[in-house]
Amino acid sequence: MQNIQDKEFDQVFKSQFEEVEIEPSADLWSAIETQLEDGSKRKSIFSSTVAASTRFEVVLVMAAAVAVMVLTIGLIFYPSAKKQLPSAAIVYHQPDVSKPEVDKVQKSNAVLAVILPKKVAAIDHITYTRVKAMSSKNEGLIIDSAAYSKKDLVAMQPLRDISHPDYKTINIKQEKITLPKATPEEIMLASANAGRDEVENENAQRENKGIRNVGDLVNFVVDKLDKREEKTIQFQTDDDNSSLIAINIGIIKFNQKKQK
Amino acid sequence: MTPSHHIDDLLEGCKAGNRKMQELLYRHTASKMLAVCMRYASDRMEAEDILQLGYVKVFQKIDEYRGAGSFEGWIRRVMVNTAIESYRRNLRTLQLVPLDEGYNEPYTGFDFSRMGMKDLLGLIQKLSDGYRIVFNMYIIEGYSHKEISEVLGISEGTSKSQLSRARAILKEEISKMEGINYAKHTG
Repeated sequence: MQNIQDKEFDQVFKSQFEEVEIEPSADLWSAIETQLEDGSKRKSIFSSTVAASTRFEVVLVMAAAVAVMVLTIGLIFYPSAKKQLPSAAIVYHQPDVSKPEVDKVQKSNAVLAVILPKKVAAIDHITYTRVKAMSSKNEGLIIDSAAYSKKDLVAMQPLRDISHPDYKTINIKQEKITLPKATPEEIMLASANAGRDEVENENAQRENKGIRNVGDLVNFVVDKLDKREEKTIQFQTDDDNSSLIAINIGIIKFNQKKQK
Repeated sequence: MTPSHHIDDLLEGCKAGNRKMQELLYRHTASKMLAVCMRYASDRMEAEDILQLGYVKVFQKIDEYRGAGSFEGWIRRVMVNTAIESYRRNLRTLQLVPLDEGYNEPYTGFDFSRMGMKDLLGLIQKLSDGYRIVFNMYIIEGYSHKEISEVLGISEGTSKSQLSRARAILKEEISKMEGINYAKHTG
């Protein structure tokens, strides 16, 4: 065999396989036939029905995901956005408050009065007013300061330094002082009453206005159904808008009134 | 194969998508084509898979046959291409062996031409994929090394080395078989 040339070797193989026939399995044609029919069906089905249903499912899932996201963002950020408004308002008015105090300290030397301008005192977001008055024979220190909720104190930071001066360091000339005629009590009462009247009048007006918008309607229905102090949901309303101020649904609790 | 006018009728019927004509064409040619597939496969099951895929392609692409060459030759080429694609689809790497790899010289001394087709087919099927494909394409189908290199994406040199190695392995195996046969006769 070593002597057999490659050409001869190749020729033996070629001749052996030239006219060979091997009978296939009996069921092979039916398999081919099935594949031919399936192939034509698969094309039409896959390109229309299956693909369309898949696309529809994807759109549904995407829509549901967007809806959940919008609701979540709304619940989380809507109340916090409302909370920011009072701080911003007070910060805006702060320079007006501090200037007159410094002037009074320097000029009177005996009477230190820290009085909020009416514009600031009348702001709804201020929850209460605290007045301290100090007086002695010949000198009077009157501090009429507004205290705010925790968040508002941050905005009012400069007032602390001014409202608690070290009186020893102030050069007081008692002989030349002319005491103010108005008594501290009168000032205190006037200031406090003015604020309360405004709030009471506003509440009375609200009650008399009836149902003007959706917020009022929700408040009315919730008042009838929920007798608790902390309602399930509560809106603050005015002529044009209504804003969410309290929620009490199980884990989710928010009360803008309490935070103030 | 059926007379020429019959082949023309079958061809036209198959082009029209006539299932009966397709079946008739299959019945006339399948046994020859399975013999081709058997040489490219490692066993009968794999050969029938190639045959099935090959006929599906024949009926799907029958419009591409323009009458150049025999219709049977065209079907045979479809089967060979299907066998090669089958290897690629199954991610089989062609086991290519460099030319300088040594191998044992075959034991010689007997006339292997007396061996039957089944014996030779068994030896071919034992070859690794790369050797088997190159051997079949070059020796039985008559492809040139250039054509083989283009179809398989290998160099002509690699094609030649694969063929050389396949021949050597077959010679060795044939010698072993003849030795066994000789021992049986004389023993």
